[in-house]
Amino acid sequence: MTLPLAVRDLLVRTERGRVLLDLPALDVAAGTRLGVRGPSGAGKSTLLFALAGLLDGVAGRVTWGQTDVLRLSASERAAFRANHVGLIFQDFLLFDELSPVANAELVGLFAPPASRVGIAKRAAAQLAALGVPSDARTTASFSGGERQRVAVARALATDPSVLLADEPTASLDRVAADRLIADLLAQSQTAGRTMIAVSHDAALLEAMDRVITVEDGRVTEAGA
Amino acid sequence: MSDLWDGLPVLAQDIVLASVLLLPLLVLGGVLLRGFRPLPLVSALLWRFRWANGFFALLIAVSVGMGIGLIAQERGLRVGMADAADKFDLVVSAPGSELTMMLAAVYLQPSNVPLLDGATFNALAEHERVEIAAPIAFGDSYKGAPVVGTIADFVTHLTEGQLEGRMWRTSTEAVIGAAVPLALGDAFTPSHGMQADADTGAHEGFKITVVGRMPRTGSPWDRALLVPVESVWEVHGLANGHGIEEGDRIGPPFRADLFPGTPAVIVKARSLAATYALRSEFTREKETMAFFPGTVLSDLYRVMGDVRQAMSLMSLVTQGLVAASVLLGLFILSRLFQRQLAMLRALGAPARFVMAVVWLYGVALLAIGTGLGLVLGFGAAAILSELVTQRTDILVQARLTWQEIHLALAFLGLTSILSLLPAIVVLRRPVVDTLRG
Repeated sequence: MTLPLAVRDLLVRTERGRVLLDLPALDVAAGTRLGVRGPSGAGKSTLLFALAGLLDGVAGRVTWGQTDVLRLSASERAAFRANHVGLIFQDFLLFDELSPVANAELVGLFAPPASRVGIAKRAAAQLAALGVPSDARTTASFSGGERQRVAVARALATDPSVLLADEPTASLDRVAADRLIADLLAQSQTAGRTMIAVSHDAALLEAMDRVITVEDGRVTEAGA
Repeated sequence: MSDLWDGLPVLAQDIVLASVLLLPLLVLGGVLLRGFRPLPLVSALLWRFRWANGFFALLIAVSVGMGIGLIAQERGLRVGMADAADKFDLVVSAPGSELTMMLAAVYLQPSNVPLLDGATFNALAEHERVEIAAPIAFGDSYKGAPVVGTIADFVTHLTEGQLEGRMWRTSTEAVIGAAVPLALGDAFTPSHGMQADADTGAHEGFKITVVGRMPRTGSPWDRALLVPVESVWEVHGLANGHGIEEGDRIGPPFRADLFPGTPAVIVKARSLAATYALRSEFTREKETMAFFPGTVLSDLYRVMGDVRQAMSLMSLVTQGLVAASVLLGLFILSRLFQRQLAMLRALGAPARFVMAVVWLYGVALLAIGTGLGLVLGFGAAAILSELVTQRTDILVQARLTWQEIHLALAFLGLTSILSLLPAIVVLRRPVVDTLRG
């Protein structure tokens, strides 16, 4: 399943009232790959976190399909993310003491028992598809590229409707970044899932269906 | 309810109490962990910060061990002293300090005390309520071990007739305690005095042959060399309680006018009532003092009990401080892995799961530390017991009992509740701020 996104009057402020993000409207069709670019501190990651329902005190509407995540309680938003959103972070955030399989299956530790087998199978399949040596005892000795592919497998283990990636190639060298971009595109294309990636990486942005630019908390430019 | 509790076997009461003390941990664990599998993450965190974790666990172990070791040691000493005094129903001596006299007569820690005369001894020995009246004579030693003069009946009473070899028949024969490094048939010459002050040449030429060995009693008498009381008197050039016409006869009755004196008489009465009657009869101002070693011990325990309570309180305070330190440590450590915890929340982990990870991490440290503390405490008590046994010959045995287990479980139960605090604090940190580091 894939979900369209409709954002209306999204306003994110600091506690002191400074506007971090002001987005009157943004629509992303289901299955679209959207790139978000902009200078550092412009509000790109804030947008991504707002779309994931990770920010409190946000005004407006962020509607994934029929669900406005801003209207949900904290626990409901967590459940929504667990069921529908895959997240990829710039610095992977793996448990290096665990095996790649255990890292990829991480969500299974708190998922309902009925879905654990499915998560484990998908995690193993993703690791295999991404070419991660799944027999390694831990990820401690992995390269940056391998770690990020484990993180991708973790994000996709729940078969999410939406994949949100925050600077996924920023910690990788060019070769590893290009391979990851190819993997991400292939994964999203196969599943037809909506993907939103915040990045400075021109190669990644070029591979997106659509790119928006965020500057000073405002979407100042949008293009296809 | 009280009747129901009293009706339970002691073991059942201990198990119920242990369960109640562990209840907070079990309830919290049940509530937090139900349906989740946080163990792989907790194991990862324990391994990642293994040195810090090891330090905290050791801190907890030392704290718990101190409390447990103190209680186990104190109880072991109390039981050992009571066991050592078990065969000493009543002691009659010249008036003075009951404690000093008990230490001398029961625990063979002699000091200069006035002597009872022959008339007083005979009054006791011939009393219809007395089964055994044993004079005690000391002042000599052999390689640091006390040489104690007494009568054969008292040795039989001490050993309950279980003697390797035989009882002495002459004043140049001895029965030795189980720990004396001499064999049957060996001969020794007593030194005059005790320990470093002993004069090894004072009784030159006076040989005593070992003819019997007592079984282990767990008391200082295990290290003693027992000889006929006449032997001690004779070697010091005193009368031996018998007239020339009696030849070489040893043992009671003694002639009052030829009785050199004894610092104490150990009395075994014919009945419990007789023991009390004798104590009353021989408690005479300025003449004699009669006391139950058990009562003196009870008084001593009462004083020790106060000290024990004070030390237990100090131990509890220490444990409280350590628990607070550990909690502070948990706060600090939880900051080290807060980005991973924020990542879990970003991935959609329920708040209860994140709490379960932090709580279980803290409880694992506490449980490891507490378990290690039990081992450390017991080990320390065992070593101390051995040292006390070696120094005093009172058999002190450290045993791990339900009392120590209850103390450890109480600590674990209480701190398992406190471990919720770092978990709650972690949840209050904004996810995005934490993710951004």
